[in-house]
Amino acid sequence: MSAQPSSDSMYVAQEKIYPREIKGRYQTVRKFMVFLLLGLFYVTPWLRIEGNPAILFDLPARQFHILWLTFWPQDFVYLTLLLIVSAVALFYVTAIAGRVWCGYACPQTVWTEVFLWMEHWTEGKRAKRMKLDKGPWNAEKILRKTAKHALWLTFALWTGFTFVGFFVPIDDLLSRAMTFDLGPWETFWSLFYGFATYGNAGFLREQICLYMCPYARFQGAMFDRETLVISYDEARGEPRGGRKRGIDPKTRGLGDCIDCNLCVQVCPTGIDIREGLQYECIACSACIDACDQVMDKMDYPRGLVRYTTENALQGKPSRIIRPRTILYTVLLLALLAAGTTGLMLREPVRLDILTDRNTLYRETVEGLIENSFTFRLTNMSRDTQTFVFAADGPEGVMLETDPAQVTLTAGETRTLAARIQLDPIYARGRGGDDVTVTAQSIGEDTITGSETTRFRTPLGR
Amino acid sequence: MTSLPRADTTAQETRYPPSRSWLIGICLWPAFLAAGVASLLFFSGIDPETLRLQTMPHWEISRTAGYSIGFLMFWAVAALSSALSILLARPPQK
Repeated sequence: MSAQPSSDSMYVAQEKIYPREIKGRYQTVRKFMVFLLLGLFYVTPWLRIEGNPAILFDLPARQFHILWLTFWPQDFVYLTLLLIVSAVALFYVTAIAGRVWCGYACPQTVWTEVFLWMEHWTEGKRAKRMKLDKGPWNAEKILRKTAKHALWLTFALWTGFTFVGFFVPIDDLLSRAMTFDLGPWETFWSLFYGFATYGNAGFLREQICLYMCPYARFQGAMFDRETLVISYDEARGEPRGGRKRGIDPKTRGLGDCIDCNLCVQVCPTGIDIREGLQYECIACSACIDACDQVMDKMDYPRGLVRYTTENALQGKPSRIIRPRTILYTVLLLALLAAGTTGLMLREPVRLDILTDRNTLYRETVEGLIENSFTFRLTNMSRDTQTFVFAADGPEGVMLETDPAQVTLTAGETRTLAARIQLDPIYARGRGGDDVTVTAQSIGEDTITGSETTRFRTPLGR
Repeated sequence: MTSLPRADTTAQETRYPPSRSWLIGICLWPAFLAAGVASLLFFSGIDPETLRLQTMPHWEISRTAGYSIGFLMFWAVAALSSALSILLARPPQK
């Protein structure tokens, strides 16, 4: 015996889980979600609107293009709002329907599902996979394993490439990838995301959910007795035990569970749902589909394992409308309303007016009061625009910019000198008046932005 | 009365740490998330191009490189913090 045991001895050997494939109502929904979500992921970077990518997070240009909208760093508040809305939506869904996010929509689950399909195509069904892993490294095993990893790696690399395609126009990226002309960081992030997918969906799988997912740990706080959970009906199923078809279980003193263990074999996290609600359960409903199949074969009613609530299991009514869900609804609607209003009112032009700090005002030879300003104009629309300026305020206010017109490409910012003049007889305020300057794109009525500044006049008139 | 059965997993039954890769995971993964948030906040306010011009104008790097280096730096710092937390959370060994 060695004096110092290797630190590995305190680690539990991770047992590999071989989820058995299953068909059923819920698995059909999950398959549909895989196609929908991954379809969105892989297709979106290729979509175009009027020649521009429909969605492009153009980091080098510091612009995010989302459909018809363009976002700038100063629109950061919308991103924050979007993240808050997503979080509240997740709490909302969790309070009502439990961990449906985990089972149907989480990227970890969705990609793992696809990797499992590929494993199934190359290595066969559960029993075959287990035999293959136990068996010697013969030609078949090498061939099957190579095929699996080749498929996985190809898919993972394409995933990494698509990920970078959200940040760099993907057709350009593809043509450069073909000639091995990718930038160092494009290559790095493609490989990074690709290998993360390969590792997470191919190897780590349920361990991400068990050990690394923060949501799995705090979702319990959003659960109550009326939250939808997947549960085994213990009262109906127990005592479990094997029996022949067509025998009334009551005559043998048995419940409806025939103890076929199918619900355990299909579980991607390797738990037994009959032991109760467990944090490992990602609510994928594979056990429901498996059990329903068996119940059908036995001519028992379905739903020995089913979506239910803690209250329902105890014969109490379950409500969807309850204080918690009302609160989430109100919160979600308020946030969405705030975000939409903000977006609608967002100006496609940003005008900053900087006042000249050296002289408050100047009197011209004609006896007019003049203030000097610096205008800083940013074109936040998607196209090149030519802007002219106008001032609004006390009667007879005049504005002159140098140059008189300014043409800005999408995203361009320029500063220009400006003077505002006012006949002192029209000065209304004491020491100054508010003047609103508007930058207006020629020929584009909607592309306009305005800013109010203080026009300073002499005191004590 | 039937009640929803609950799994009896107690702290004593859970081995710590479950595996070495788990330790690496819980060090790098939360740091990755934190680095993402930090990069988002930092770079929404500060353009790496401006930062470069003001600090190292002779170092010619693209914005993409600036973002990437920034993210990796945040990740490294956050991972260091995670690693220290893991170290301190461990029961002292004799």
